[in-house]
Amino acid sequence: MKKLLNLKTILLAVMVLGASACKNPTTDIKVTVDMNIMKYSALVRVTDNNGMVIPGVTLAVSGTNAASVYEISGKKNFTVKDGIVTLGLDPAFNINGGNAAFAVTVSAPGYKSFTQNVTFTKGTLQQTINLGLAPTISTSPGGTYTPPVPPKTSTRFVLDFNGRCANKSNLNVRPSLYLFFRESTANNSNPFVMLGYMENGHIETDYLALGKKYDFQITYAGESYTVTQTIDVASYTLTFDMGTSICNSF
Amino acid sequence: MKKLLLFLLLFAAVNRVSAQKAPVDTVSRHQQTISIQLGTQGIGAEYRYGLFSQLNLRAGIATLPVDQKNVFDIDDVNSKNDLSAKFTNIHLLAEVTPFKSFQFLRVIAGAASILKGNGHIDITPTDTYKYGDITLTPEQVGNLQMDINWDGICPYFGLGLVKAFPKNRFNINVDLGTYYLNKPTATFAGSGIFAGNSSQSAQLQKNVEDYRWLPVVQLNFNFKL
Repeated sequence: MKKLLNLKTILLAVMVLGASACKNPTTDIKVTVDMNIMKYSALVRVTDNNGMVIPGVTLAVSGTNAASVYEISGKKNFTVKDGIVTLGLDPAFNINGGNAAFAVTVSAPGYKSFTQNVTFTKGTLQQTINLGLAPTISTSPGGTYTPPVPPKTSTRFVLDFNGRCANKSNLNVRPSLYLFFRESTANNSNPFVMLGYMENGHIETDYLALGKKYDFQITYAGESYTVTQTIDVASYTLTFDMGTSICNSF
Repeated sequence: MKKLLLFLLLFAAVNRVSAQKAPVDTVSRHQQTISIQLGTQGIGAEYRYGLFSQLNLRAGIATLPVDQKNVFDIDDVNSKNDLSAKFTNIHLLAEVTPFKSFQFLRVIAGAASILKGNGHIDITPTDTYKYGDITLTPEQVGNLQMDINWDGICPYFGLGLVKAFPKNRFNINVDLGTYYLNKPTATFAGSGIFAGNSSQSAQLQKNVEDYRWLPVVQLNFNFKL
């Protein structure tokens, strides 16, 4: 049996020799990794009562199934960046056995803390929770709010996003995250508005307009990543330079 | 290829003319062998018939099953890979002994129909994959698969060493040559967190488009009929 294996190796070696002038079959292959490991996610966006981003927001998770809740990078660090953090449910959680319930408490200097109950329900893969904090001096306790919805246009745009790793050039990540956008200005004065959830880097939207320049932003592991593009056609593939953070998650 | 066929036809014609002028050389004419073959195109069986004194026809089948582990590496992904290649062909060859006085050397040309020409590579990450603090199961991680297929009819050309027909009942001779396969079709796919890799099929196709030479180094064990 050993001799037969050796013979096979020799045969293969001759074949490989015959193909030695050819390229390695994996040359320039960029291995794509999908980020949608946590199928159930909740975007938590924290602002003041006027929808403006508050500095120094912290978030804590508590309650029955808190142990199964992670930041979307798979870590337990719930860093709020630009008022945004995305929570995900441990893929090992058996949601067929019941919902995952927990509470998020958000705090910020000069504002009242606010606690919101959150439930991951079977079949509802994404949810958005907008929390408005009330100033300490306010009589309002704060609460949830509905952010303004951008106007739709007549064109359907298809956007595909990749995440590029700084330290692994042959690795390509397809992010599954909530995507924000704003019309690009010189002083970046426009607030980011949620465009929607992109699954494996793919999103289709009619909130953009031809000829305009937009900033697109995702928040991941306590960092925000932005890419800017003028929209001249209906389809784009764009890349977020994500440093090493996204690669370090794998 | 056309030139070679023309040469064979001319050779056959000349052979007929010369046969009318001189006693027929019966060294190989009408002789037959059955051969067992072992080489880079696998294990095969073949029938050889001496059409003229210096021209033989060969028809046979060969199959090559190869399994090999860890043939190559992929940058940035620690992985193991399993290669399995399956080649089955039926072939029809013309074999000419160009020098009557030197029957050790034969020139061979013909074609094969690749009934099954497939290379499959499974690439499985070897690291314990964690996403953040979450350890992924092997099912969640998944794997990568490369498939390369060669189909159709392809030419063969090569040399043969040692006489085509045994003097007595048995001999062994050698074939050195190559098939020139059709341009392969290649696909790249994945499962689990690698499910999005079908987009790399075009690059794989580009990388393997020159994988068309299937060298043949083969021993023929010939039994005279």
